[in-house]
Parts: sequence; structure tokens; C-alpha cells
Amino acid sequence: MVFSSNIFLLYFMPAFFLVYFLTPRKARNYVLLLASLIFYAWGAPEFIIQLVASTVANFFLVRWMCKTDKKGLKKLLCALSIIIPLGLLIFYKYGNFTMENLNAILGLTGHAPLTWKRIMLPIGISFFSFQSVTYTLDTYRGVNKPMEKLTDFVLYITMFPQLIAGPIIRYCDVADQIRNRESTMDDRLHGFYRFVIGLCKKILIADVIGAQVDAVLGPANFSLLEAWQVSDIFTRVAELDSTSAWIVSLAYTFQIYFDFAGYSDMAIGLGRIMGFKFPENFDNPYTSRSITEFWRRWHQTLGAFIMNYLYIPLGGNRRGKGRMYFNLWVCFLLSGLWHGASWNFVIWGALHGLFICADKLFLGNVMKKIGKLPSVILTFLLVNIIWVFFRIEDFSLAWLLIKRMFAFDFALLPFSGNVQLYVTMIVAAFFSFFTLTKLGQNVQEKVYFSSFTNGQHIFVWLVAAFALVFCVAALNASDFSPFIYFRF
Amino acid sequence: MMRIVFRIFADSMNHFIMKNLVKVILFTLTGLLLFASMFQKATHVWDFKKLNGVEVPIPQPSLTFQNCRDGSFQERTEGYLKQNFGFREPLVRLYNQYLWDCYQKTPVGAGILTFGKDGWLYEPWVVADYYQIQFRNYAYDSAQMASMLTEEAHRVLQLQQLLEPYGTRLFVCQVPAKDLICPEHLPENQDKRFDDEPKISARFFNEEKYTQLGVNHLNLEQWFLQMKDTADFPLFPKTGTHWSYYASLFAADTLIRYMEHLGDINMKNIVIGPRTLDKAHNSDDDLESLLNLIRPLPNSQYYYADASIEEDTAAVMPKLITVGDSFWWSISNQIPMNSIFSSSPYWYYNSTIYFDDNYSSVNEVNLAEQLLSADFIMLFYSATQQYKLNNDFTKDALIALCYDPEEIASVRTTLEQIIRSDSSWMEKLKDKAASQYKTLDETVNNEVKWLINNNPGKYFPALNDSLPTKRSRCVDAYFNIDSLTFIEQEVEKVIQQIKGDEKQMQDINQKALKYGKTFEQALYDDALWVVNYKLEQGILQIPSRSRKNSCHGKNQSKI
Repeated sequence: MVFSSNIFLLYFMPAFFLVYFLTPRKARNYVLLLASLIFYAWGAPEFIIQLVASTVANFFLVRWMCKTDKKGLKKLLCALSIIIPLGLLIFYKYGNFTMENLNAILGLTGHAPLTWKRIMLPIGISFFSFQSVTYTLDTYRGVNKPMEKLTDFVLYITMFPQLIAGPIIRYCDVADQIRNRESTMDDRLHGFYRFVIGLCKKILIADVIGAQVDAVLGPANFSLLEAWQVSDIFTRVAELDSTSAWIVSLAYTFQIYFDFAGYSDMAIGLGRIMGFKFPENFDNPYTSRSITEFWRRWHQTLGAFIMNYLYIPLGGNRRGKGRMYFNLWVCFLLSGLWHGASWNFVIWGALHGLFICADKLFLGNVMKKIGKLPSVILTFLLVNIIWVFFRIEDFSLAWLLIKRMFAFDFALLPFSGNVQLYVTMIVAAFFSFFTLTKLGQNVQEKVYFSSFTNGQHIFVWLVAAFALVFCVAALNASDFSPFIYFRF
Repeated sequence: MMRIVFRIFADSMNHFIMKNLVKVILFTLTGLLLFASMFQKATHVWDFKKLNGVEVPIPQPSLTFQNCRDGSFQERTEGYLKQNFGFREPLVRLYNQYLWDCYQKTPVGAGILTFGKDGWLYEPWVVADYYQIQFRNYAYDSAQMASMLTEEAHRVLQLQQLLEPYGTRLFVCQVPAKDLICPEHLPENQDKRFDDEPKISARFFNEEKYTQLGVNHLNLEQWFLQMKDTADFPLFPKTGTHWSYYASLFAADTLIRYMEHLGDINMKNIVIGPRTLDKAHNSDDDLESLLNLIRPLPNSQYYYADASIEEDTAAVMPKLITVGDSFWWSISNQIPMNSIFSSSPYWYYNSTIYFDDNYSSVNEVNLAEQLLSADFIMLFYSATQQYKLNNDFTKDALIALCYDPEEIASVRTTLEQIIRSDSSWMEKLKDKAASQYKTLDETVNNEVKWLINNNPGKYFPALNDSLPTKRSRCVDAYFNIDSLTFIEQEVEKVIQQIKGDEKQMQDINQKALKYGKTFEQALYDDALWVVNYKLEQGILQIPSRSRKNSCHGKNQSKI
């Protein structure tokens, strides 16, 4: 189940909140747990048993780990507790990838390929696996005590607002809130506003822009209804003029940000309605002045995870500069691979790792010297170009798009003057960069983090209510393609 | 004590509510807002104008362990809920109106219409057909399309020739499409992919092929083109895809004249009443209606008139079967068909049969019997639909006329067994069934049908003959019904003769007693023996089916 669907917006969410708020406070976690299991089972019924079983196993392993005084056993149990979720992640996410590459090697060496049944990737596995790891390690390090109740731990792992796409919530950040939390009327209303903001980002910006990106970079579709969708993808990209190529890459840059940030907003909003304070995941990443800063602002909870559970254990910057660069690069390489089991993600991660190293070596200083706006623009363009490798799996196709971007054969208003695309991209650009100004920062601070007066609440509620209705309208109207009569 | 506790509780609640009154109200409103759709769906408190157009309905799935486990229940439920939630109609219209007002476009991905010049609307496939690239939806290249169209033209000829001796006239009516009649408002061709490839247009190719082969055909498109500059009424509406409602009346009149000529008969005339101007309705704004806007577009006015049928007792009322696309609706909705035709079932896309306010599936009828019972069979398709090769009607018809039902069933069973024994094939069909919300059996049946129609001559070799000589026993059975009727009538005549002869009556009485029969049974058996004897001796001859020659001469009083 995804948030931007009828089943969630019109059925699951209302029913859940009604039951949740009518339930006595002490029993609300059970309602949330049950709803989370239903939420997950709806999208991945075959995996729910494994999810619960591995979570339960982890709970008891960590409890055992905390009770034992034997260091060796403690370490063993800690390792086991990490291996279970990471093992599942590796199996499900990288099984196909490993077999494909193995067969490619076998093919090159003249051996017959191995046959295997393709493995379905369970939704959200990348997120809840990492959360399970944070629980084990935070407990092992003594940052937090282990959960006393099994249901609380299962709830921490499976809580539906953040189950599918994060934020990755460290155990230490949420442990107390699971046991005891307060949901004020302000929280509930602000949570609702935040949810609607996220929904708007997803439906009114990301999906609209994404339709054009998919028309160019999506699979060929032999219908004559949309001229862009019919030819071979290489032909489509090869025929792009430079303006179109830039528009496509910029469109994807905005699409992925508003899609992901929108989802995080919805998760944070849903959590806040219940009294949870989930960590922020995005902080205007496209206003960054360097790739290093970009990673402080983009997918912050992943960044924090990598920093705390990978970079520092690898030695961080404590073992000399050479090792630091190596550690950084490895972290981003693995971060790339975490995003998807494909070489293009590895390239994407490796490029970010390289530029972060370059920042430390010289690029950071250059960016500081050229001033705020040029450095923001340069960083944005760099991020934009690197996103091409994230979107396009085939390296040669990605390279072709980049070549088209720099072919300098610009055309005026391509895509048949798709005004909606242009307007939406302007809106996306505005909201991506408006915090560069003081006014923008103030507005963001006010909307996201400040308390409202009653008058402000009424105004914002009316806007949010209309936006919610409009999003549901957009969600459904875009799929309604009737014919005059039935055709056969 | 209790009173004090209650007082404290009440005071604190009061304080909380007063302090948070606005927020409590807003939070309550949020809850009501979230539940509004469910409430509307359950109660239908508000009545909204239905959305125009048709979509394939997604049935509400029933929950089973298997469909829940494989996710198909969830997928279907989400699909069902997308089509069935409260406030769907106003919400869809709201977003459509926003897109229209701000960007002059329809929802992303809909692809239901294309904007031409000066506010004219077209269906995208109509535009594609004008630029002669529509065939790419049906064939890899123009040569393949030409081959497919040629084969179909030959099948039409086969069917025409095969039916003719039985008194059934088959003809093709080429229905005008908006692109050819009103090309001046068409948008520019955005699709340049096939610019360097040879192109083909079914309308021109078929016209040439029909003429060359001698297929009966009436090209209304050419007629519309000829009268475009002289007609004092629009032939096609600005925001509709079908011919104008008014123009279709004249097309109907021409059709009747053509049938009179083809059958050499006299039919009743259509009388078109005085015309009046009115804002576009019925099919004249069918494309606009698909926009599903809140506010209607500023619209042109069109002519409308009542059509009646001139009384003519000497006129023939033939049976017409129309196999065609939606252009026929304009005619059948305006003209009292029952006054012109004895029967006029409409085989919509060779799928659903509409007749006398009822409908059934083509799969439910005895095809051979239907074909033989008709006086006229009209293949009635507009240009864009001609690539669909009459929706396999000709193949189905030829097979039904040439092969016994058992032979057809045997081929189907064999193919079905081949499909079902191939696990990978079945896996694909399972996916297909799920994606199309059909049962697996239905999908397998469709696959069998596709295999047969893809190469009918392979499974039914008689169809490879230029004029098949093999006949289904259904053909004979159809005419034997007349033979039996004739025999029954002759038997009745003999019975009457016997009853008028006292001696013969006594003889029958004795035979009844002798063989233990009732008198009526003995009388019937005796009369039947007499008729059979006369037939064997050639004294009596069963005439050919009386209806079948009726169309050959003018002014036949009865069909």
C-alpha cells in the first residue's frame, strides 16, 4: 500500500485514525501494530511472515545479548542479530544481481549459465533492515536499553508511516516515544498539514514531471497516442536536442526530490498526528554549495546511518587522510548499491564519493571562493548530471543523454509546448531554491516548525483541506480514460 | 466525593475544550473530511451527474486465501475502488476543469482525444489515419498491412459469393471519418517516425480492392467528400467524432437506395422532417463529453430533424444485419428501423448484438442460421476501424457456413488442449487474465479464437478454396426446416381429404384397431405415408426456400 493511493487515503487512513483515537492510550500501540501489519501485508502478503519472524528472532537475540556477561557470546549474538536482517536484505535485493553478474562471467569464460528463479524484492526491506541493525548496535553499544515488550519492538520495525520508504529511524531516536508519547491538538493538525504537503509534492509535482520523464526514458509503448513513447529508447534519446535533454534530466532531478521528500513529509506528518517526532530527512538539498553539503541535506537519515554504522566503524578520519578518502568512497559506493541492485547505482554512488573526496581535497575551497549563488548552481548542475546515472540503468544510454545535453543544439520550447510540464518545473524550482532567501527560510520555518495562532490554523487548514481534495482529484482523474462507446 | 471528582473532570475538560476549541473543531473536520468519501459511497446523499464515456468495469473481487497470497485480491480491490469511491464524479471533473482551464489539455495519459485547429477535437487514431500511420498499430509495415487487407477483401468476396445463392446479399459500406472530410482543422503530424517508410491507408486500399474484386460496396466517404462544398449543413461536428446527427439521416436514405438497387426491390422511404437549430447534443458533442468538465465548452449549433417512414404497402421489409462500428448508432437511434426492416440486429464490432432494446453476445447465436435468415448483411466500418478486418466476422462466418459445429468444436478443443498442456503458455495467460480482470478460462478461449483467426485456413482448409464448396450441415438443416414445414402442410391436406371420404375413414379406423394406435395417430401415419410416396414418385417436389428468391424481383409483397 502506498500513501498516494485511494485505498490508503480514502479507506485505510480514516479507518485507522478513527480506531486509533477511540482506543485508550495504553492500547494504541497495539492498534498501530495491527494496522502496520495489515498495511505491509496488503502489498507483500508473502513476505509478512518472514518480516515478523526475523523481527521476533532479533528481539530475543538482542535480549539474550544484553543479559549475557560473556563477551564472546555477546559479540556472536550481536553479529547474528545483524546478519539476519542484512542477510535477508542481501538475499532479496542482491540475489538476482549476483546471479546475473555470475552468469555474465560464466558466459565470458565459455561456461553454461546457471538457472535460477527470479526473486521478488519485498517492499521496504532496505529501510526496515537498517532499522533492525540500529537497534542491535545501539543496544550493544549501550546507547539504549533493549525493548521490554516484543510488541513494541515489532512496532518499531514495522510502523507503517516509515515502513516503506523511511525515514530510517534510529532506535535511540524513537525508543522513548514508542513507550510514551503525547499527541496534542497542535501535533495532530500540524501532522495533517505536513502529510498534505507531502501528498502535494508527490502527486502535483513529482508525478506530473515524472510522466514526461517516463515518456522519454520509459519503455517503448506501441501506441500512437503519445508520439514520444513509441520509438526505441535509444532512438528517442539520440533524437533529443540539447534543450530537451536538459529538460529531461532536470525534470528527473526535480521528480526524484519531490517524490522522495514528499513521501518523507507524509511519513513525518502521519507520525506527528500520533505524537511521534520522526527525524527530518531532507533540508533543501538543492541549495547546497557542495556535494558534501548536499549529503548533509539529502536523505539525512541514511547519511546519519552510514556515518554512525559504516564510516565510523571503518575508521572514519582517525586513520590518516588516505584511509579517510577510501572510507568515504567505500561508504558512497555502498550507499549507491543500497539504492538499487544495479551497476548504474554503483556508478552514481562512486561519483558522489569521488566528488566528496574532491571537496575535501580542493573543490570545497573553490566553491567557497566563487560565492554562494555560483556554487549552488554548480553543485545543482553536478547533482543533476549524476542523477542521470541513477535514472538510467544502461550506462551507454546514460552517457548518450549526457552527450545530448552537451551537444549545444538548443531548440525553443520542445515537447510540443507542454505548458503543464514547464509550469510544474518552475514551481518545483521555486520550492527547491526558495530557502536561499531569508524570506524563504522564514516561511519554511513558520510552516514546518512553528506554532500557529487559531486564525492561522483556520487558514492553513482550509488550504490543506482543499489541497487534499485536489490531490485525490488529480490521483483519480489522471487514470480515467473513458471511450465514447465500448470498443472491441 | 464522586461529585467533586466529576466536577474537577468537567472543569478540566471544559478548560481544555475552550482553550483548544478551534483546534478541536478543525481536527473533527479533518476526520469528517477523511470519512466523507466513504459516507457518500455508502449513502449516496448527494447525486452527481455521471461521468461521460465508458470504461471497462473492474469487478469487486471476492477474497480467497490464494488471491490474497498472490496479491491479485489487493490489486483488483484497488482497481475496483478507483472506479467506485464517493465523490468520484465531481473530483474527476474538478481536475479535468483545472487542466482544461490552465493548460487546454485532458488528463495525462488519457489519450482519448487530440486538439485540432480552431478548437476542433479529433480522436488520436483518426488523426493518425489521416497521416497514414494508423496501420502501424496493426502491422509491422505497409506490406504486411496490404497483405492483411487483401486477404480480408478476398474473404469478403468469398462470403458474398457463398451467401448469394441463398438469397443473402452481403455488401460493404465505407463510412466517412472526420479526418478525410474535415482535414483543414487537423493538427500537424507530430509523429515523424515513419516519414521515410511506405505508408498505407485502409480506406483507399479497400476501395481499390473491392472495385477490383467485384465486392458489393457503397463508399459513403466519397459521397460526403463530394457534397462537402455544397451541403448547407455541417457533415461533421466540431466537438464530435461521428458524422453529424443530421448528416447521418441522408446517409441512411442513401443506404436504403443502395439496398433497393442491390436486391432489386422496393423499400420504404425515409421522410426527413423540417430541421431546427439547436446546441450540440447526442453524438454531435461526444468528444467534448469525454472531457468531463464542470463547465461545458462554448458550443456550435447544429441541425436536428425528425425522421419518419413513408407508408408503402407494396414495399419490401427485408432483414438487415449490420456488422459495424459506432457510426450506426446515429442512424439506428433516429430512424424507426422496425418500419423499414423486418428485423435489423446490430452486431456491434462483431461482439454484442443489439436488437429490439435487447442485446446478446455473438457467441450465443447460431451464426449460420443468422446469416442465412438475413436478406442483407452490411459490413459498416469507418476508415480507422477498417484495419480491424471486420473484427473477424468474415472468418467466423465462413467457418460457420463451411464446417459442422462438431468439427469447429473439435478444432477448438484440440487447440485448447495444446495451450493447457504448455505450462509457460498458461503462465502468460494467467498474467494476461489478471491484468485484464478476466477468468483464466475466458482468456484461454480468447487465445484459441486468436489462434484460429490468425490463420483460419490452417485449421479449416476449406477456406483456402477460392469459393469453398464444403457446407456445414447447419446450412442444410436451415433449409430442411422449410422442407418439414412443406411436408407438414401436405400431410394436413391429405388428412383433410381422408376426413372428407367416409370409406377411407373406416379403413383408418380398422388400421388403428389392428395396430393398437389411436385414431389420430393412424390418420397421421397414413397421410404421411401418402405424402412420402408422392415425394418418392416425383408427384410432389419440395420447393426451394420461398424467401430466398424474393429479393430478385421488384415489388415482392412479402419476405
